[in-house]
Amino acid sequence: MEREYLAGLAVFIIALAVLPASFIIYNHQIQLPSTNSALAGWLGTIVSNQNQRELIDNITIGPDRYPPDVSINLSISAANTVIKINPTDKHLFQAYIYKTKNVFSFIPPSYNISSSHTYSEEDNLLTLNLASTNLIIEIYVGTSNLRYINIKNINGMIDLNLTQLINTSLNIDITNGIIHGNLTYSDATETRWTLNLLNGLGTLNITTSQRLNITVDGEVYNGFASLNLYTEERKLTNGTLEIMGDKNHSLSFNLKNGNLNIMITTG
Amino acid sequence: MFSLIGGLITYPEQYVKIIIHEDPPFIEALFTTLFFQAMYTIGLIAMIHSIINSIITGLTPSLITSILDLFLPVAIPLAIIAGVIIWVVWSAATHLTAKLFGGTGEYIQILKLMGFTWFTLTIPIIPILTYPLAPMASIIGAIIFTLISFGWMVYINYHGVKEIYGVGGSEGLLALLLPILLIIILTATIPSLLILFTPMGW
Repeated sequence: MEREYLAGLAVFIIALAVLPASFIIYNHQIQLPSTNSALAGWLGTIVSNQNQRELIDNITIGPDRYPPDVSINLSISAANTVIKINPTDKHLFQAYIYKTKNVFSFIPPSYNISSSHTYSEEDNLLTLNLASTNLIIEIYVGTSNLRYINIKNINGMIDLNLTQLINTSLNIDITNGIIHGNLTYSDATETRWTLNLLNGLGTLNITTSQRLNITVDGEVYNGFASLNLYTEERKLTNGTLEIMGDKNHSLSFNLKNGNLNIMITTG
Repeated sequence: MFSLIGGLITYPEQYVKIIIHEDPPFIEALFTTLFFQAMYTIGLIAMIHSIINSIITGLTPSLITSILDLFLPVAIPLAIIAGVIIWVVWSAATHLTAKLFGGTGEYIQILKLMGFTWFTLTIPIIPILTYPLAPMASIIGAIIFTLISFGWMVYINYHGVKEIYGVGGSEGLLALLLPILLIIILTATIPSLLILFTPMGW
C-alpha cells in the first residue's frame, strides 16, 4: 500500500509542477523553424524587450556568395518599417528587414550570404554586415525626427519601403563615377522609393500613397538622352526617371507638395 | 485516493477491481478529473500561447498579442469544462454500448473509474514541463505523450468495462472505442452531407 500511495502522490506532484512552469512557458519566446528549407537557414529573428536583447550572430551562410562585401547599417525608431533590397542582378541578393514592436527580423529569401551585425541601444542603431556585392547601405534613424539613409556603391536595384517614417533623407552615392544623388522626403504616411542603377543607367521609381504635384524644370534635365516621367498634367503619382547617355550631367527637380527634393548628379 | 491512483500505475488490473468493488466516493473521481484536466489544460494553453506569440511577434502589431492575452485565460476554464463533459459523455456512451452488448453494470461505476483514469494526463505534462529548455522536442513530446496517455486510459478502462459489465474483451474494447469512432465519423461526414444536401444559393 505504501508504494501505491507514493506513486499516486508523485503523480499529483508532477502534475502540480505545471502551475509554476506555466508562468515561464506562457511568455517564453521560441525560435520556430521555417517550413521552407530554402529560407530556413536564412530566417533569423532578433527578439528584444525591456530586459533582454538577443541578436543572432550569424544569419546563415551559404557556400556561394557573390559578389561579396555588403553592409547595411540600420536604425529605425518607427514601428512597422519594411526595408526591401531587391537587386536586379541575379548574383545579388534579396533582403527584407522588418521591425515591429521590439522585434527585428531579417529574411533574405533567395541567396545565402554571411552576415554579422551589432546593435547599439544608445542610438538605436542596428548594423548588418552582409557578405555580398559591393553594396553599402547605411540607414540611420535617430531618436529625433530626422531619419537619415545613406546608400553607397549600388549596383542593382534597391527597393525601399518605409512606412511611418517622416523627415527621411536618402543619400545616394555611387562611387564608381556614375551617379551621386540626394533624395529627401518628409511628412509621409507611406513612401516607396525604388532605385535601379546599373552601369551608367539609372531608373528612379517614386511611389507614394499621397498624390504629389511635381514640377520639372526643363533646364535641369537638359542634356540627357532620355527622361521619362509618367505624369498627368505635370502631376506625378508614379514616376520613372531614366538617366542615359553621357555621365557628366546633373539633374534636379522639385516636388512642390510633399516636400520632396531630388537631386541626382552623374559623372 | 493517492493509493488508488498509484495502484492503477503499479497494478492496474488489480486496482481496477478495487475501485469498482470498494466504491470510492464520487467526489474523489470528480476531483481527480478536474485536477488533472486543469493541470494539463494550463500547461497546454501556456505552451500554445508561447508558440502563437513567437509566430506573430515578428509579423504583426501587438494588438493580436493583446487579444490572445485576453482569450487564452478564458480558454482554460472552457477547456476544463470540456474535459468534464468528455468524461461524463464518454462514460455514458460506453455504458450504453456495453449494455447493448448485454452488460449488467451501473453507470456510476464506469463514471468513477474513468474519472480516476484522468490521472494519465500527467504523461503529456512531463514534456510540457521541459518546454523552456527544448521547445520543439516538448511540442512533439506533448502530442505523442497525449496519445500515449489516451492509450493508457483506454487500457485501464478496458479492464474496467470487462469487470463492470461482464462482457468479453473485444466487446469491452468496442464499448470504449465505438462511441469515439462514431463521433469522429459523424464529425467528418455531417459537414459533407450538409454541403451535399444544401440547396444551391444558400
